Amino acid sequence: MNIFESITSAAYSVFANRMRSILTMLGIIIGIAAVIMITSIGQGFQNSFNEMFAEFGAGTLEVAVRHDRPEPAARSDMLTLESVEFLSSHPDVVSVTPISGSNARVQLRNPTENTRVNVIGTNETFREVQNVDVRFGRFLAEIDVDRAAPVAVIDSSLARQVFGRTDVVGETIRATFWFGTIDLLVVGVYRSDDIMSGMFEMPTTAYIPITLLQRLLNADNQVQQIFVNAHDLERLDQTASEIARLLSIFHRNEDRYRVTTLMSQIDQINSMIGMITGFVGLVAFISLVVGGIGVMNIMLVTVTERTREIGIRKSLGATDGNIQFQFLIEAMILTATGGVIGIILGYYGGFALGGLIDLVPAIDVPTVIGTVIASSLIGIIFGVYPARKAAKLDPIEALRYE
Amino acid sequence: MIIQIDNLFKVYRNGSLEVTALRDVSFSVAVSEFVSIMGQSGSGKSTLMNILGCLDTLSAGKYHLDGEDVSKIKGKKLSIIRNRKIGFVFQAYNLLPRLNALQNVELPMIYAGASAKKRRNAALEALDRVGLTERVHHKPSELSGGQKQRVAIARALVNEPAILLADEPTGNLDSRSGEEIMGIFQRLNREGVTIVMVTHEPDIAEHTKRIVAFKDGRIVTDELVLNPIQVG
Ligand SMILES: Nc1ncnc2c1ncn2[C@@H]1O[C@H](COP(=O)(O)OP(=O)(O)OP(=O)(O)O)[C@@H](O)[C@H]1O
Ligand SMILES: [Mg+2]
Repeated sequence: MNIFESITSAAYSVFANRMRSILTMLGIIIGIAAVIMITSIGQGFQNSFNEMFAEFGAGTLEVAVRHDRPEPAARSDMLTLESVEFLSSHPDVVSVTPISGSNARVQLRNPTENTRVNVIGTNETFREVQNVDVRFGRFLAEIDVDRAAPVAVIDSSLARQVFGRTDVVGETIRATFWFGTIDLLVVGVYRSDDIMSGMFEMPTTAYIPITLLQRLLNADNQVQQIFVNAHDLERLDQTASEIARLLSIFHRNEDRYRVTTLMSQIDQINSMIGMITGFVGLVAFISLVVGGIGVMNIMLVTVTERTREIGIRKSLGATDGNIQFQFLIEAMILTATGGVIGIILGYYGGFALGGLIDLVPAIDVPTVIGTVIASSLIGIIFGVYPARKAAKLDPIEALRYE
Repeated sequence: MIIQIDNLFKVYRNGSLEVTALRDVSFSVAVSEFVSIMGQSGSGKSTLMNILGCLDTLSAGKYHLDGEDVSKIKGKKLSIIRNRKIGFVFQAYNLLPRLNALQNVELPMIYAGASAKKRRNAALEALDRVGLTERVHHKPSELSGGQKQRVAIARALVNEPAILLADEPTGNLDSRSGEEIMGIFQRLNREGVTIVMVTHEPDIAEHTKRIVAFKDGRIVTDELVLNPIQVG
């Protein structure tokens, strides 16, 4: 009997017991669907995350004051616009972007209502660090920073909340900070492409000149964070440690600054996503094994039910090998079919789930092929015992079985 | 000789309990013989048939099938002997219920490794030999007892075995269908097929050429039938 015939005959027998076969496959179907869904969502998340940072970030260094030293940071250790100025003169540096954050409540159309807004004080080079998709007007300019001008670049969804439209350049918004209220002229509107913004009612973000924020916060010259864009990607790590050293010299302290590459942070997040995917994948794998045990269970029942058939086949000259192969193929068809159904369900499930959180799931061919192979292997592994049991039956006793 | 057994013993052991089903049985069957085996219930007829059919092993003695000593053969080689040398017909037909008549007849050839086309032709020919040209695509459940047994005989013949063994082939049939089956056996025997069959009924045994009678696991008589009843 050739393999093709064995497969069609086994498929026939699986099909003959449709309902039971589907129930048997259920564990495998769920396991595989879960694996496919989780890996495709994880991969999709990673893709969109990497895309967001691909153009930016590659040459970006993040500078922050270390607070993990035994002695607390002194006032003189704080990063300031002078530090920004100082770093700008370094030959390896393309741009230096200071960033400070605060939040405010912005008054809506109805004066009694307001919404919370993240306010980021920065300068014109911010767009080297992070993409800002300006739709109307412009981003912050050098002159705004120099003059600490009361201007803002706001999120289109904030514009919609306040004005009911997005083309609002030239309008003013009233922002209330904890220390007071200020009217800001909208000079630009950008469209946010935050992954999460589709999912929750997240606060929107507005950009204002760093100098303005410092004045509002009474923060002298201080900035919370500095982003540095470097020329030479090859030397990024050296540049990072050099910046940390130079800053310590400039501020007359020692080892007070942490300079990390954005890439290393992206790698960290990626590996975290990878770990979560891996962990959930492991759980899914365990459910596959449980599904495999279910298949073994049903195959054992099948072997018992078909004892007489086995006896007949043996009396006609089937070898132990023929019988074992027959039941092994049946188990494999069960799990492989379950695997294929699981892949289809997982694929569409991934899209359904991705649609909810505004994410395009990604699934690659090797994963699909690997999953089919894995489900077939599960059939073989958990089919071996029942199949051997069938093959070892004594023909006379099997024929006598009622 | 197609079959040659010498001093055959078969002892069943269930724990401490021992049942000697066959005691010192010796006999032989030549080419083109048509033998019936008779005896009371429990006299060892089925035990002998199962050993002759290489379905069961013997406890002591020698068994030569078609010139080959098969007493000690096991495993895959024994499966091949069952497949090529033996055609077995059971009282309960033992057809696979999910396969149609034709597919049931093809089964032994599948295990012989024949091509699909060869199988189909040989199966149709075997069904023709037992007079079943219609209903070959029907499942066993759609066939009468006599038709089922004819399918089973075709299946036993399809690999052209050295011997056809039948354990009470008419046991589940009414007398008319039983008579038909005996007619088929007689025709096959005239064509040169060697047949050994078990039966309870003297009327059926009278259709064969030789009757071997068993009692308590021993052969008590072994006689030729002078004037076998001819069917049709
Ligand atoms: N597997 C077995 N284990 C123990 N004893 C057995 C077994 N098979 C048969 N026997 C015993 O061997 C003896 C012969 O049985 P066998 O089936 O050969 O009889 P038989 O002549 O075919 O009877 P029947 O006409 O009822 O079919 C009986 O005593 C029976 O109980
Ligand atoms: Mg019997």
